[in-house]
Amino acid sequence: MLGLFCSSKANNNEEYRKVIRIRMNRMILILIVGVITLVFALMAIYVWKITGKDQTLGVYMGLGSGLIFGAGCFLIKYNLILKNEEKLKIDRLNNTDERIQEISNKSYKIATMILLVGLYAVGLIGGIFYPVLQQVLLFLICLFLLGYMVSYKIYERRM
Amino acid sequence: MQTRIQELRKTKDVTQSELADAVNVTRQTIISLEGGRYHASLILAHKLAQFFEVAIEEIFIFDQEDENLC
Repeated sequence: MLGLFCSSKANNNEEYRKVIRIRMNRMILILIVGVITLVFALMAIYVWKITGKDQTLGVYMGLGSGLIFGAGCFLIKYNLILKNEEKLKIDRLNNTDERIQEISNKSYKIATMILLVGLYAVGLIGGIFYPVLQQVLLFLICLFLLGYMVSYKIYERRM
Repeated sequence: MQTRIQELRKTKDVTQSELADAVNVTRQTIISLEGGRYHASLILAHKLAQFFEVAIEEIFIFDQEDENLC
């Protein structure tokens, strides 16, 4: 299975090695974000002594540790791939294969549709009980559509 | 669209894995191409044609009506 944002156009192992190194740098960035989130949550509890926000701070701690753990796992995986030519080749083929990329693109479309319908439904129904939910979710749908239009126009000029 | 990949591969005595390695795709993609479940891109079609040393039209048989080529 091709991971999200993982498709590549590398033609050989050497080119793919560079792709892996870029991904490793991204993982280090995610790891740093995780550490910042975790430190922020811990400081809120132990330094700033914020009370009554246990659930929110719990979510921040979970997010932080989740990002650290996830990024750490990927860093180990990429390290192992870089050390083994056969694994590198298998991973390259899985990331560059056009059929797998097409499957991934189709899955993106369906997932996006589900996400939009979900956001709309939650915004519509949840908005009855929590008006702010309606505003936030409908704003997110507008942001998505705006993002689509802008990127479409940019690619239209380039291609 | 039909393909003659399997026929050409057997003529050349090449396994699916060897062909996949030669054209830089996974074996599953070759299986899907042979089964007609996936249509190759122009680049992959070109690589296959180079590998079998034939023209693209000799590998992929276009259905005039289905592909709107009439």
